[in-house]
Amino acid sequence: MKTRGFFGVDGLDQAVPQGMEYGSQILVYGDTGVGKTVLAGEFLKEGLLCGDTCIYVACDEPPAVMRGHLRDYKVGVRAYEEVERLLLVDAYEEEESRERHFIANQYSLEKYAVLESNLLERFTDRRVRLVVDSLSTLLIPFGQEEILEFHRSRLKSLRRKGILTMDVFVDGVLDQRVMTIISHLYNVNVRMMFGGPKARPERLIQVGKVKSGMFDAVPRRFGISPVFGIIFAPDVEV
Amino acid sequence: MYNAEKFYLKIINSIYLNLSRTASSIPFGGNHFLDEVTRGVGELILKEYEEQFNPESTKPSEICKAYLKTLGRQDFLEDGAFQLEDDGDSVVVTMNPKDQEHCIYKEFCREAQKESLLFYCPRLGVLQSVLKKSLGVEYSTSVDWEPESKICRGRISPVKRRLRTEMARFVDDTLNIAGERAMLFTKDAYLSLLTAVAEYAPFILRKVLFDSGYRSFLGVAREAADSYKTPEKSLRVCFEEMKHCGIGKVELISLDPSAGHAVIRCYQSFEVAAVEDIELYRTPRVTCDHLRGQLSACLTVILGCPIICEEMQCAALDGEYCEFLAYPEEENERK
Repeated sequence: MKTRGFFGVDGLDQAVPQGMEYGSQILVYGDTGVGKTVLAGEFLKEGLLCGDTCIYVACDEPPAVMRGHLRDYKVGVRAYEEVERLLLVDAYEEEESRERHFIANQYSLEKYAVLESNLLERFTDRRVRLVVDSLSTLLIPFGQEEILEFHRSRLKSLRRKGILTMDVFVDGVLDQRVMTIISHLYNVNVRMMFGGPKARPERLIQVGKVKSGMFDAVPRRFGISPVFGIIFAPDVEV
Repeated sequence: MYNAEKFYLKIINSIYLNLSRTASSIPFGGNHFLDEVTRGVGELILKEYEEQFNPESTKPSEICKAYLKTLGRQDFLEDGAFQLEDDGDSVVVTMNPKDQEHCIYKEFCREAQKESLLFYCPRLGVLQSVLKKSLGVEYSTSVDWEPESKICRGRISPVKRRLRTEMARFVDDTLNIAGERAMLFTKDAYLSLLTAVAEYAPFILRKVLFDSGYRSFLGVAREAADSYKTPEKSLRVCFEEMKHCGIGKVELISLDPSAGHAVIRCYQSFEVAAVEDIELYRTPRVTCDHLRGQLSACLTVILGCPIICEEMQCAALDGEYCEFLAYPEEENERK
């Protein structure tokens, strides 16, 4: 079996024609409301179809939002949750979570790393995709050194375990300098932004493969369909 | 019995046995084909002796008795060897072990059972056509032979519903299934369609397959739900239709109708076979979306609430079968 994964979005996948090795890390960052969570959902759907175990850590909203989002796209969420092929982890509720999987204390990066690692340990015999949406929210209270150290050790560990990881960051939450350093730690950077005229803003996306030094500087236009998810405007460049 | 008679019996039994063997491999329901052949032979014999056949009642068992008497008068059979009684709309025909020795079809009957072939008793086929002619109702037959008591028990019952796929026919150079125009979709034609969709609008492919499967099976599921009392029976009929269509051998592993939960497996899925030689998707993945749609439609109609099936295991990835989990489609809370 091929051990390379894709985003699950035609157009975006063409930017990584050979796919991404399991153990690779993807950084998705962009404006609020641009479609980062929708992309995360596509990434999860793709994983479910390929037989992966998909773990989604919800930091900005309750996991029920992603559950509802997937249901909107006619994914039989319950079937996947029952056999633990899809784990929606609550890292949002500060009080007691009603979810089966939760990360209770989000105020210590060390604790978060241990809890995340413990969760992943349960699936060492499976191919795993991990999405943290958004990691930037977890990092708000911490200093630059602490954030960078957390990143280095966490990403190293995820790579070793062969986890295909997608970390979502909201633009403007972390210091730009920190973001620049962090982005170099990931194999693939996905930048999502609004562009075009103010009266009719467009959604744009850029994909860069940091480690290979290749960065697709051409922003590609995309839209979000309530039925099909992210759709790229065919053969149209901005 | 003269040697020539023995020889004729051998020929008759061999013809029926080979018809059964051939019918097993006929697409679109060998059942119906064999049923029609046996019934048709009965119809021809009936035509021959029609003038001598005068039933005094419209009770199905009395009609059958009157016809057996007609044949008895020709020394064709011993009409007393058959016990007939009504069971609702059906007629039960019993033959004791002693009388079975005189059954001219016993060689075919035993061999067909030994080989687990499709089997329709030619004797019951005659009675089936007599009942159809007398009452204007379609009948079908089944036979149970109890090895312990060695009693042969046949049943002639009105046909509730025939599988749609059994009603495939050529009419004036056109293929019809259940009265509707149909065409055979070869693997090449199916793949061409899939490849074209994947080329021009890859993001719609799975949805198209699921929706087309769902829509195309709603009618079949409705008919099955109306015709049978239990969800299990209705589902099995739907699965039989799927098998006849060449989709694969679908099996119900478990069903909890009140919870809307089911586990279903498919062996030899057509969709798996169709994509095995081409790279339709970038990575190996579950591929049976058309079947997933059909199963979702069947469960939704038969269980009476929206059900969604997910393919948790696909033979395109690993293993010998595809496995589907079904749960009620949950509604999102809207604020």
